[in-house]
Order: sequence, then C-alpha cells, then structure tokens
Amino acid sequence: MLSMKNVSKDFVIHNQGGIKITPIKDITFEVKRNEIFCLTGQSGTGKSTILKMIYGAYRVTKGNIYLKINGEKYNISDCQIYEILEIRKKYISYISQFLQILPRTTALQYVSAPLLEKGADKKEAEEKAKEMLSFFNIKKKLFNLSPLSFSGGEQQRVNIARGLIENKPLLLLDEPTASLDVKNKERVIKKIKQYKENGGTLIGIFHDEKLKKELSDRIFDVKNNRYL
Amino acid sequence: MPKILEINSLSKIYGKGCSYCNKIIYEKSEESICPECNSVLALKDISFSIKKGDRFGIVGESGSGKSTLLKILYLLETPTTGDVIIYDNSAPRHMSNISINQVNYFQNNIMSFIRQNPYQGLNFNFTASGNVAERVIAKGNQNFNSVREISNSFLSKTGILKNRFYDLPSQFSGGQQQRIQIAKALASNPQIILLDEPTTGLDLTIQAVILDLLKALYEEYGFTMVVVSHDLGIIKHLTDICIVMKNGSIVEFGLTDQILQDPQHPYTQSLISSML
Ligand SMILES: Nc1ncnc2c1ncn2[C@@H]1O[C@H](COP(=O)(O)OP(=O)(O)OP(=O)(O)O)[C@@H](O)[C@H]1O
Ligand SMILES: [Mg+2]
Ligand SMILES: [Zn+2]
Repeated sequence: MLSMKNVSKDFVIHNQGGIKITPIKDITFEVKRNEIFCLTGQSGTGKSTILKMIYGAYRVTKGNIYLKINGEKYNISDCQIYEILEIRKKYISYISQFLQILPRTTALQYVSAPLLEKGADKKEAEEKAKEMLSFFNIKKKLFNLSPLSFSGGEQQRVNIARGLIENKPLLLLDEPTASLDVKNKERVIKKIKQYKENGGTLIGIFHDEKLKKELSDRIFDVKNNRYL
Repeated sequence: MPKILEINSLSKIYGKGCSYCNKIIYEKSEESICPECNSVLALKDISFSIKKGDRFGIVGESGSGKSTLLKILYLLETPTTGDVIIYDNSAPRHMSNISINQVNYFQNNIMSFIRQNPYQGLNFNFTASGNVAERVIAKGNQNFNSVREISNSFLSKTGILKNRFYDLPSQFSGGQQQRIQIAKALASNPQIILLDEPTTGLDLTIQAVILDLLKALYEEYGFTMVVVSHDLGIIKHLTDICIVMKNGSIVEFGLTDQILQDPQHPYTQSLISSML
C-alpha cells in the first residue's frame, strides 16, 4: 500500500550558517494493506520525520514515497499541494504527538471537527464524538471544556479520539500513548484493533512496549534501515 | 476545484517609475525603494492562483506588500503592470480596464473585504444593522423589511445579540466590531472573502473566538478565503495553503503546514523562529 524507496530528508538551517541536518538517509520499507506497521528507534532517529513526509507536511529531499490506494497510485514526493490536500482528505488521518488546538475549542468540537469538515450533520457528528470520548473514559463534564486544561493522559485520549473518528484507510500515529494508564491503554488497543478489523492500515510510533508488542504486525528499525 | 482567482506578473510601483525600477522588479532584487527615482516598489512580478474553496494565506512582515496585494485584489488600487483575473462562474474576467460599474459589481457581489481596522470596514454613523444593510442594498435588494430581516439574521449568525442590533459601532468592543464586519461581509453572499489581519489588535481569547467563528462560517458557506497576516498563528489556524512575501516578492509557496514545519527559505525560517 505504501512504499518508501531510498528516502532521505535534509534540513538546511540558514540562520545557523546553513548547517545541514540529515535525520533520514536512504530509508526503504514497504507497508502492506491492513497491517499495523511500527517505526522504532531512539529519540532523534527521524521517526516523526518519516510520518510527516508521508503526510506531506515535510518535503522529501531525495527518493520516493509511493501510495497505492483504492486503485489509485500517487508518488507523494512528487505531488502538487492540491493533490496532497486531496489525498489527506480522502485517505489519511494523522495524529501528532501533541494536541494542536485553539484555546477556546471544546473537546467535543475538536473531536467532531473532522466529520464536520467532511460535511456531516452537526448533530450526528457530535453524537459520534461523544461516543468516542466516552469510550476513552473522558468524563461527560469535560466535553464542553477546552482540552488545554486537561491532564496529559486526557489530552492524548482526546487526540486519539479525533484521529479515529473518521476511519480513513491510512492512519499515522505519532506516539500518542506515552502518558496513559493501564486501563486506558487497553481502550486504545481495543479501538486500534477494531480499526484494523474494519480494514484500516496503520503506521505508528509507540512509546509503550506493551502497545508495540500487542499491536504491531511488523516493526521497522529506522536507525538501521531494517525490519526487526 | 476550478480556479477562482489568478494573478499574473503583478507589479506595483508607487511613484513615477523608471527603467531601473523594472530592472529591480525583474531581477527580483531586494531593494524596495528605487535608488534612481525614489519610487516604492511594493509588489514585484507576483504570480499565483487560487482555487474555489481554498483557504489561502499571505504571510510576511510589515511592508512586504501584503496589504497592497489585497487592495489590488479588491480593486481598490490598480497594479502598475500585470493582471488580475477573477473567474465569475468559471468565466475568466480580466480586471484591467474594467468600468466603474463592473468594479462595483465585483465588490458588491463577488468579493467582500474584512479590514483590520473596523474604522475602515464599518460606517461609524450607521447602526450595526445599518452597516450590514448597506451590503444587502448594494446587491440590489430594495425591500425595507426584507433588507432588515436579512441584515439582522447575519448579525445573529456572527453572535451579535438582538438587543444590540441598533447600536452604533462605537458602542461595541473590538471583537464585536469584527463580528459586525464579518456579518457585513457575509451579507452579500460572496464567493471570495478577503481578510486583512482579521484579529490583530484583539486580545488572545477574543482572537481565538473570531478565528473559530470564521472557521465555522467557512464550513457552512464554503466561500474562498484569502487571509493576510504577519501572524503565523492565524495563518496556521485559518489556511491550508500560503505564500510567504518579502520585499514585494513571493519567497515561498506551499501547504501551510509545510511552510510552518519545514520552511525552506532563510526568510521563512527566521520568521518562524522569531515566532517561537
Ligand atoms: N499609497 C502608498 N504610497 C506609497 N507607498 C506605499 C503606499 N502603500 C504602500 N506603500 C509601500 O509599499 C510597501 C508595501 O506596503 P504594504 O502595506 O503592502 O505592506 P504590508 O505587507 O501590508 O505591511 P503591514 O504588515 O505593515 O500591513 C511599503 O514600503 C509601503 O510603505
Ligand atoms: Mg498590511
Ligand atoms: Zn526607479
């Protein structure tokens, strides 16, 4: 479904004398449809960089990222910006490491937003969002408050709820589970398994060993450019 | 989506201009004042296009030419050279040399302009309702009751309370004045809304409220949005695509998250690091 072929990424920092940072060098791997594919490696090896290149938020310096989906074929590294927007809209959800949110937005608004953007009915979208939030043990009385005031674990669950509300075919998950307790980890595992049963494909970075073991079909070691 | 707006080789010189001005413009050098004739080179050979439904950002420092560009798009100023094309129901309409009537048509029916300064965007001698009504009337509605009803419904839409409809703009807070401007902009049911620093000068929580409102209205109406700001936070929350301007030129163009997370140009990088 997704194939990274000899991908490299340079960052050139101009205001520091043009130094070049190359977090990703010549990486090659392939993700099959309907698998849970885990990227692993120490901090700074470029795991998030890879996800961001797949999402089109980082430009690819060298190499190609091929995406085959619903009978269509794209080379993400060559895509025009409108194509990237379309690919995201149709196929890819991305959950970042940190909640990115405007100060006054409520948890309910934040989680239902992807459905509303797709043109869903407001009431239906909110019902679905409430269901998701409850599933992840977010208390009802928090629904109409800003997630910025929530605990770290609550914020992460809100973030995951938003990413999973849409059921897009490809989900990119960037370490959203670092501060979860056992009970909530179980919930996340359950929801991700459900997502896979429904045909979804996931490329994820899991901080947590338990999640990584229980969920991953395959694990790719980014530093050494090989499958484990 | 089809194109809705196209800008081809647009330049703007304030002053008489000379051949050295042209040299600066076409070689894209950094000077913003011509050393030969002292003209101000506000825009230098800019080209880009916007598609229907885009949320398009224009970001850059003070003096980079953002507002000049927006004023040309709204036909308040004419470019020195180059062309603006607006697609009116997919038919390309060239804005160079159009008649005053045509200018009115585009300003009243196709585009709306929300200004940073409510004193420029609102008539302070009219009530809130009267300000919105002005747009509805300009579009051709002559029926007093229907004008009033439509105007008030747009004020409600932007969160102005019923008992304030007939207050004067000066009796409202800055955030509320922006709401009235937004109501006014929406009232002509425009295809394109141009916003110049829509929340600058408001305190942070009010900014967030106005950004939320604009996002919700965008989802409801599906207009095309062109947002000018020096504030990357606003560009981040309101746009999907943006250009970065410096000294009258475009230095970078891309998805807003690419520009913010992976800026390529030295200028964009310093703009972003100054924001952190
Ligand atoms: N009417 C004018 N006469 C002369 N120079 C002008 C005029 N309008 C703009 N300029 C000049 O053109 C350049 C671009 O100005 P512009 O207002 O477009 O910048 P901006 O990017 O919108 O800045 P800001 O962020 O401060 O609003 C500046 O050097 C400005 O002084
Ligand atoms: Mg300006
Ligand atoms: Zn000159």
